[in-house]
Amino acid sequence: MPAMQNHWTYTVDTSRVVAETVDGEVLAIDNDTGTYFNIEGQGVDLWEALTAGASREDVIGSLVARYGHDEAAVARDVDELVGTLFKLGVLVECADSAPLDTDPVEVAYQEPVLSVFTDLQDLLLFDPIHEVAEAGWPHKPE
Amino acid sequence: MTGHASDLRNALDALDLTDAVRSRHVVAGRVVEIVALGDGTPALTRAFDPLLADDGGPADLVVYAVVTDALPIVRPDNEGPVDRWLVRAQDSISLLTEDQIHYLGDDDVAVWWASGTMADHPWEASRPFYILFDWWFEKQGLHLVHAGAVASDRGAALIVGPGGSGKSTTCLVAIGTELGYLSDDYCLIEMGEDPVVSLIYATGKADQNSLDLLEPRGVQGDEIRPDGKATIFLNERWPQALCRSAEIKAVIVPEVTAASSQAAYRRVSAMVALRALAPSSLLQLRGVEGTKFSDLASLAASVPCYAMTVGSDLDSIPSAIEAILDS
Repeated sequence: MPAMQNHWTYTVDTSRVVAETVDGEVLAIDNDTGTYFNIEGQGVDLWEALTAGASREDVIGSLVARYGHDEAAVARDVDELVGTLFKLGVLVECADSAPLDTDPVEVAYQEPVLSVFTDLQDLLLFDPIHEVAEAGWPHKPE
Repeated sequence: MTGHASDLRNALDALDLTDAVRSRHVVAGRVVEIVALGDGTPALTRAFDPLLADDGGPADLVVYAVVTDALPIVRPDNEGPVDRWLVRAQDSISLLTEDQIHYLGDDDVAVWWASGTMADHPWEASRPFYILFDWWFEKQGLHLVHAGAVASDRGAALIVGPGGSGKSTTCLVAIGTELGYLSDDYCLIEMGEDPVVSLIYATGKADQNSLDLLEPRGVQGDEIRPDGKATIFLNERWPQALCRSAEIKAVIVPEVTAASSQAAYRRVSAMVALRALAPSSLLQLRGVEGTKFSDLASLAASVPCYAMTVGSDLDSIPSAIEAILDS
């Protein structure tokens, strides 16, 4: 895995991760490892930004503008959450940062909360599925 | 049709099916014909409800279940890791393993081909063809999910959670009560304005501890699986306990506890229910259409969700479920 950059532009690796948002929370499942995780608070904004592709500066700028929260605190939260997601292997570098909302909102900033669950990894680790082309491993499907 | 799919279909065509055992089953309103050939394959139809379709019309899906000494095709490259290969071709999807082939063609022909004897495939009897059904039913707009389900005349409660969370016991105590039984492990759900759950396997499973608890209710295990749990063929022992389908009115997350004996329930968020349902369903059964996760999220958001603590007083569980369905 490449090292995490200080000035990154990342997106979610949708070749392995599926996610849904329900009741203002994100549930994401990593089909490669069997890990799943729950994101709450403004981590949901961050996840949605990453889904479209986002740079560190744009994400922090958007959260500060929208929630009027302290920039240093937001930067700390973003770095912590993105650092954990990066270690989980679910982020990949991308070329461009998609435009992010900067309109102020009337709700207070809530610290991102990430809960990682590994209790179902056995479902995959003992019996993994590789999607391959007809030529077989290691040929990926076209 | 090219490659392994073509080779497989040619091998299927070359089979002498004179001695094949044919049976038809109505599953979620669809007619599934099973053509079983080879060692012990009748065991593969044991889990199905004997609701036979005998109108002579065409089947919606034909599943060929074949067990032979060796597989008719081998994976193109056996130098890779020993695991499962998923191959999506233009007109079929296949999962190839060392000793099994799962194949579904666009012409609604499915093949489960295994090598050796049925004794080499001890998991199959309790949930036959579940990978094929996951693929095919999703094309029909239904999802095979990892969940239990019981129903009253008000509708069904989906019982969700990973293995060991109390799903089976919560569902099996429905036997002999006013509740109908649809599943303790896998069931089909059909989305829509009023989501519906349908029985697919008329089986249950229980470890020895659960069997001891359920024994006073007359519940006994049949075949023992590799994980030590007994498969219970409900269609043979309690056909009157089975419910074929029902509208989903609630999602329940059981929580086994030693702190209290009586079952008790409380409302929880849709996310709590989705977290108990989706990962274990999707990691086992990914489907092919990519719609399962969003449909499960919609389901969790559209019906009330509950956590239910279940203790040693099993009699209190069905009445708690009925109370949820009545509310």
